[in-house]
Amino acid sequence: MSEVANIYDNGPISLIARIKDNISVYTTRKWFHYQVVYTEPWPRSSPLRIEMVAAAAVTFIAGNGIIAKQLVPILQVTDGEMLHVRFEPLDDVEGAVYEQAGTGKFVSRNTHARVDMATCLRDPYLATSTFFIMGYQRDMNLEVRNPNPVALNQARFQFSGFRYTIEPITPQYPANFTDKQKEDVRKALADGDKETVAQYIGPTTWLPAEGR
Amino acid sequence: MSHLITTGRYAGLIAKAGNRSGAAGAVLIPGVVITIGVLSMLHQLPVGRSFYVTKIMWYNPGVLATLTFGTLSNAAVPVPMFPTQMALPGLADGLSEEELIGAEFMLNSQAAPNGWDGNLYVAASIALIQISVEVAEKT
Repeated sequence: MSEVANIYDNGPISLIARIKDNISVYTTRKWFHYQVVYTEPWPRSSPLRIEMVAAAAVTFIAGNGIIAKQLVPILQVTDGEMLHVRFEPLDDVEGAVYEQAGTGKFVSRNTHARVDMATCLRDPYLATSTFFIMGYQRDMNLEVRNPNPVALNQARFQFSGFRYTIEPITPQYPANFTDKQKEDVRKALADGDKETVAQYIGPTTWLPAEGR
Repeated sequence: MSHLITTGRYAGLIAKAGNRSGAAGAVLIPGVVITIGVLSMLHQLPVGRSFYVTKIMWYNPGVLATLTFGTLSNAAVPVPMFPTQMALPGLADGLSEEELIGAEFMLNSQAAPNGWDGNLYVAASIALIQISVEVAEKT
């Protein structure tokens, strides 16, 4: 029931929901339903750039080495905020995304995909690097790998995208609903039951948040 | 430090500084190499890859010298790949992509004299010449 574009459309990044649109976000194994109250772009610029060698308080990333996953402070948000971000490395390194530090993003059973300098060759708008960050304490971590056999003293990553302010939607129950009926609706909403969501939330854009 | 080349015959490769630095290129971090009067390594061929040299820049703080850029045979004999350059005293100079023959540096593991290691070296006639290179290479 997506109202706007597909969220991973292979084109320039665009809003996944407009102001006053609803979004249904899958996070912590449940669906949460929000209304977008504000959106603004996050243009590609120097404040949205991080140098992971410095962020890790080291002087270089070893040849074929790893900078263990680090919090990216520029991507920390507060409750009621959501980021919609694409990224790429500006130096010859590869980035692997973790959301909530322990959970890989872009993973399958056996693999954890990374974004490297050549990703933009086949995917010029970096659509395949799209991820979302929602709310306080749901920060992303970035692991950096050096595919070169020698140490590099710089590993910059550039982010850009959109920032949304969102408010939880409180379902309006009929006056004669019992507590049990309300609980059933709440559970169906958390389960992402399409018909219940259509009835109590309305049209919505279904959205994954962190890696799950 | 490095950037993706999107046009031209090196499209899809990454332009980056030579991966060696320090005296004779002994340091395994990209940067400026200081010659020691004989061979200095400017770029070490990564395993399973090849590269092209796209820029060479140098500064000679000493007396008139010569610089010969090339690779090394598997008998450890320098193999010149580009015309020998005069490095004038107290002056900087360089070679641009147009002046550098687009030779692909790669490993040939055959025994000497038929094989070479594919790394980029400079044979300098004096020490303390500062050299920086840019290569085009896969990730």
